[in-house]
Amino acid sequence: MNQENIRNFCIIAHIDHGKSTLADRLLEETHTIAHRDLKEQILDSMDLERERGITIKSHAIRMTYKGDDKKDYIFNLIDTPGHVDFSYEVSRSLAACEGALLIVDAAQGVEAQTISNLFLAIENDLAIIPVINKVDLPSAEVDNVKRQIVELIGCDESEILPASAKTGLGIHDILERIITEIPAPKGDKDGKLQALIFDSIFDSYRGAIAFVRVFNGVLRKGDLVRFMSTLQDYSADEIGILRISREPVKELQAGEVGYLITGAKNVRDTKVGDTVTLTRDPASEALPGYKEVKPMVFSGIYPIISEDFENLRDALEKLSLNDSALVYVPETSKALGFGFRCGFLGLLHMEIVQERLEREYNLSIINTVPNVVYRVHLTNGEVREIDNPADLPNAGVISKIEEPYIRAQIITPPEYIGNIMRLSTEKRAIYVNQAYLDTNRADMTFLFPLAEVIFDFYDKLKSYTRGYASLDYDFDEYRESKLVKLDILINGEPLDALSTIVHNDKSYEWGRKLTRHLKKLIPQQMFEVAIQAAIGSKIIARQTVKALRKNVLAKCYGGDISRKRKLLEKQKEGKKRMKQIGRVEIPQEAFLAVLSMDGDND
Amino acid sequence: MAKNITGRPGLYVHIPYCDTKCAYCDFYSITRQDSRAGFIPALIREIQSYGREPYTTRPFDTIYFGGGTPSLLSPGELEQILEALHQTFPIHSGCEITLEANPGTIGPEKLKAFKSLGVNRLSMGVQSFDDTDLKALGRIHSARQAVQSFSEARQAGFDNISLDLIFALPGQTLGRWELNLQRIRALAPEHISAYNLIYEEGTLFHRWREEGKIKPAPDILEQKLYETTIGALEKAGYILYEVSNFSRGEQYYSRHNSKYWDHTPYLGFGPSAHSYWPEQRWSNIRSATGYNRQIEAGESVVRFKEQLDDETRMFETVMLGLRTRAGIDLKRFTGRFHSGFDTLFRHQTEELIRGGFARFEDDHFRLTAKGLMICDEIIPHFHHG
Repeated sequence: MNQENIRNFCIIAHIDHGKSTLADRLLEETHTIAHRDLKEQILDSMDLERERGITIKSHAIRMTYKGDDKKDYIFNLIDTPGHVDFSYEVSRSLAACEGALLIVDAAQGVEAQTISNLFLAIENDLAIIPVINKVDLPSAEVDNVKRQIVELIGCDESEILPASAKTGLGIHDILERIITEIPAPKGDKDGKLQALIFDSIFDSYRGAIAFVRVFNGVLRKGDLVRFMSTLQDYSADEIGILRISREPVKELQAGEVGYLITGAKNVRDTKVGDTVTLTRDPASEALPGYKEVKPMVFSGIYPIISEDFENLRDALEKLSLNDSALVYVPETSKALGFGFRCGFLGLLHMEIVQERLEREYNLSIINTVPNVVYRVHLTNGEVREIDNPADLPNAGVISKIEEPYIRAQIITPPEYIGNIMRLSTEKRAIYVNQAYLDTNRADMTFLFPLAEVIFDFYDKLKSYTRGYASLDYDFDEYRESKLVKLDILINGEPLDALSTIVHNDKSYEWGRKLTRHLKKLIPQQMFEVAIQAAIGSKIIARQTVKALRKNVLAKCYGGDISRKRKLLEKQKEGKKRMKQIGRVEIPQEAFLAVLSMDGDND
Repeated sequence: MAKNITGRPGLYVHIPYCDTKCAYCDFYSITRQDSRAGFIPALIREIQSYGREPYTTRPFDTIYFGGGTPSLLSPGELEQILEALHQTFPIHSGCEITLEANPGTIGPEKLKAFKSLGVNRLSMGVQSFDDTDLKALGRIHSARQAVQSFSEARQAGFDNISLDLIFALPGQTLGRWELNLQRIRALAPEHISAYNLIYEEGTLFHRWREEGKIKPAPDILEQKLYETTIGALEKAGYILYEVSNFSRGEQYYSRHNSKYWDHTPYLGFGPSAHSYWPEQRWSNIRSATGYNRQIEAGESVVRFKEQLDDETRMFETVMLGLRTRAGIDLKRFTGRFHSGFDTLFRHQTEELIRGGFARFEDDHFRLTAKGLMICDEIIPHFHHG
């Protein structure tokens, strides 16, 4: 098909604003899927995605549509991940499109994430079709939201489409507007091949499958292709288009979206953002925008049962086949034994990996408190990147420590500005500026230490603003901070897995809170348990879990021994979920105590 | 081996009938009497069905009537059951025959009749000498009745009487419990079982607690009550020979219950009765009508059965042994499992001894009083796997 009749677009929306439902309606209206014969929200195919209502991986789907002008069109909807952890992937998906539907919830209005993705889209020169979704809600404030959108993209109010993915209102208009507003691709079919990988997944039968947008040239089945970032050559064993399932085709021309299967085994070989070209006639340069993704948050993952170490390794290996952002190296903890130091894009990414290890691989794991990567300058001039607090050199040889800062945008109704300022002080933020989107929405910018954002930041922001504020952020730069290592000692033995790096001014409060919280998490046992917080050799806080005085169920008569035994066996199972540190049994939750301790003010 | 622990097998008979259902009780019991006519013949048929090898090889030296309320049986009914037992099994001449009796269900006449049928030990479900407690527990008798039944039992010639008490009742204070202990010491029974109340699933107490209608005793009070009980009864000359059992001398250890705790074989008859015969455990259907029906149809009443493998059997040995004063018999352990207890559990025993929770003594490994108080915490540490 002629490029004239192709439209490549994506949807920009905040979580819950109805992106997936709207996408489903488009698929129905274009008869790409039959009415409701598939699971709700077809684009979110992972269980986790459906449960959390967010998109973790990008997806793409091709629709065919006969316009009111009687012409046939191909629409490629390229879905984007819906979380700040995956902003790089979002940027690559946007780069594969010529236009975007901007979906704003009629009741919720514009949110921070929408704005940052919108700006990314505008940077990528995408045509924007503004849509107000859920206009049928009783709480809809269509006029208000219209004003916000006008303020944001400078369009005319009349250009904004009212829609309801639930009732189907506006769906036809959206399809027509895609034809008229979004430019057709303008690639050079006869040029040298340049295809952008905007996502890649691992399939256990086929290996790495790259989702590509061809910008110039033609990709044919059987071609020898080159991935330009790695300069690896592979044969294009299969190419095709994406409908509900993959449909092989002979070629993909400039302007088209589809998939590519080579012999590549691992998504690390088919990196998001990379450019595919032909080995025999390569393009002189790659498409712009490719970046190596670097993990921002690190945490140790340990099997509860040490025999599971190899299983954990296998599981991480399998997960990383499909997740090029996940990195892991073996590490040893005195307290937890053999495990892995894992790097993640952010906290959500970390939670997803943990959940998948437990659910899909049936592993019981302990994950340690997450931390950022610190840049430690030593007195001898050496600079070290530290991703594990246990590795922090002695204070004596450190000249300074730098920590990563992020630039955060918070959008909030003005009445919460005071609370947000308070939160920003608590979280050591640097205030940058503030603007108004309209009279009901302030747009605030801060620089936050990333380390502060990975602990309870979202929850606090939510409670400080009753859920009305939204947040988006991007890495900014490394800045010097007064940081110290806080150790936790259990009966005098340091528990390396609980060491954290904290700001000096907060260390006492932190130590007090953490020991108090651990006291609640560690059950009474045969022996007294002393929990201490220390900076270097100085103890700054102590709590004691008193020894258990009584734990005995009286009755063991009537001859029913089996029942009593099973009860105790069950207790043993419970103990198995704990880690034995010396003679102290420590439940898993304790290793994440730092994450759950806030609000713990008694 | 303590006096009164014989190693001979025992017999248990479950009489499920009760006048009222007590709110804390989770033993199988019913107040409807309509199955009762068919029950005695069914019970006798079940007893007779065991009249074969290997059960008839060795003499049994305990018979225990539990319930329910066995004291509701008429002397005639009890006689029939005892007769069936004697006809089916070899019974040792010095057999301990215990019957659970509730004050208020039994008068001087019946006591005498039971005595003459051979019952030589009574286990009386007094539970408390405080009428407020008794009401809360849903017992039909009063404290006065309890004392009266006890003296009637003495008059009938019972010289081996056990009294049951329950502590940590909702609303119970340490002071009120101490009065209970005074009353029981004054009666000076040969044996006392003092149970910490358990909110067993399926009981009214459990439901009331869930609904917030009753408040369980705080942990610290439970601990105090238990410590006070041990202190007071030991001072009065009782031996704490198992977590909740006290006796005025080794000869008054419950010979029957001791079999449960050291893997001596026992056969149980009647609905919900449990049996152990090396190396199997089984138990009967928990329904009186179902029980009668199955027996009439000539079908098995066994509803649960398990074979104990070595690992399970070993864990039971530790679990049951550590609950008793005697502790784990090291020679017997080695004989049974072909490796020494102290080598298998070196780490655990060292830790416990260091903490003052246990000690090796007279070829036994036993918990100290301090250890006994937390034995449910200790026991799981001995579970392999």
